[in-house]
Amino acid sequence: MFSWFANPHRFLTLSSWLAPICYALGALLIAWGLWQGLWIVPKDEYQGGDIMRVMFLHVPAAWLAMASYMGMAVMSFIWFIWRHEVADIAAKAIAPLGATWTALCLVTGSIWGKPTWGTWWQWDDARMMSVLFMFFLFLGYMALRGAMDTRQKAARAGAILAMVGAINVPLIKFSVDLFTSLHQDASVITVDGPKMAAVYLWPLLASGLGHSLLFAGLVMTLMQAEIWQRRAAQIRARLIAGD
Amino acid sequence: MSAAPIISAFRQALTEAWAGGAGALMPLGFFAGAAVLVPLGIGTDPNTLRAVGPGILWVALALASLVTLERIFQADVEDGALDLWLQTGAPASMIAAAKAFAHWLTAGLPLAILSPVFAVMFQAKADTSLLTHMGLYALGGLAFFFWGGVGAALSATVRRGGLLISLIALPLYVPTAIFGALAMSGGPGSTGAPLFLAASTLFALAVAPFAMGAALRLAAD
Amino acid sequence: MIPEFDKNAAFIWASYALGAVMIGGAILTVMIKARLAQAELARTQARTEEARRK
Repeated sequence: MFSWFANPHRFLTLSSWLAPICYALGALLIAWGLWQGLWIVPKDEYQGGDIMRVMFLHVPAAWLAMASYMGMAVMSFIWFIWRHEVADIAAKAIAPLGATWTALCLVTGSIWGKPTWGTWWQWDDARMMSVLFMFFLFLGYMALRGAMDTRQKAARAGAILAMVGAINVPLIKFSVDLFTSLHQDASVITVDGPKMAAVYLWPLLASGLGHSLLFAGLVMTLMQAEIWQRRAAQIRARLIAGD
Repeated sequence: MSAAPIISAFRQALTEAWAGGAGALMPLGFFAGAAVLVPLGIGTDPNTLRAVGPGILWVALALASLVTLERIFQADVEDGALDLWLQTGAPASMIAAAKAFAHWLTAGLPLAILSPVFAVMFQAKADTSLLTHMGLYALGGLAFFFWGGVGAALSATVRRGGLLISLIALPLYVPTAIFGALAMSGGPGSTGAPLFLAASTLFALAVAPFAMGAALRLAAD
Repeated sequence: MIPEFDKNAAFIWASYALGAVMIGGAILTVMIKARLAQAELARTQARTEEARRK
């Protein structure tokens, strides 16, 4: 099944129409979520007033921080087992973008924390710590790939690290959760179904989906760039060999 | 396949640590230096020192393990020893585990054994709990050396890979550091923490060798 | 037009401004990278064509 996607040429055709769709839909959803979140929904006095409007940026960023790392690990796994080049190109493209959204999650969380807890950085908060370590995992992955001298080595080393990181994420999260938390419990997904008021839920889901689509589109464009670069390098190598 | 290359890797790591002067003394010196500098930095108030002592020792242990890790696989890649071991068909993961274990024996265990001395310097009460703590430091150190070994194996072909190893190892050290410090805090959650520490060390022992092995095969290519 | 928030308005605008800068920056970098790569490939292909014709 993965083999079908493993062909770079097929990926280029697929992404040439899928990426623009992702951008368009993503922009629409983010715009709607922002409009709802900033203009329409009432402020929640229980959550500290207007500051909870940061949620429509912070929560999608947190979701993408986790999802992108998992995506990178899955792509690394696929590359490691089946050696499909496109999977490695995907993992490589996800890393800098995932790091960006992870950093965004940290920054917005910090800004949200200042008026709510009275501090920019709350060491007691399990989620802030988890996301910080997520950020380090991304940085380590990028630094390791950058330090390798060939593409093949970068792919192999990166895949090993991404997989080791991924199996450690639950343990890191568990250990960090042991610290008592000032943060409220996860309120979007609970056993009894979402308990957040519907007025907030829909804009939040729209923002989350919108950010995910935008992210997916950016990953595809970055992958295209990588494939084009590799093709140009291949042609140049052939040209030199032929002369 | 035979166990000979694994034993030879283990022996070589042990001799390597003691030979050439600094070796095993380097992390010890680092550990002692950190422990001595802290009171100079944060003041000599006994209550403060007693509160931060175990945490400082955990941090110093984690950092001390990073100091030695840079060279544990790099030398084998450079002098071709790694190729020879792998040619015998011995599993790379076992060779890596043997080396990481040897480094823990020479650099991690001495720190744990000396920990009561530093704990007393940090105003801890000299009772049997220091012995329990010694065991916890030894256990946590094992996890540090195995996860750090993953970073070391991945960057074995990278010149001046020290920073890279630290960056890779840092997030992997988190559970051990948290469980370890929590176990000694005496506060809420400290009763289960030693078990969690043991479990996370077991997890490191189970997973890290395979990652190190895969990374070493990459380095040998 | 612009919604009015309570005392924490500055924090809200700061997060959204940072979000716009970071996401905008990511989009811009990715787009520039893709354009450059595409142009480079086109140039290389044109050079090969030329070499073949000679």
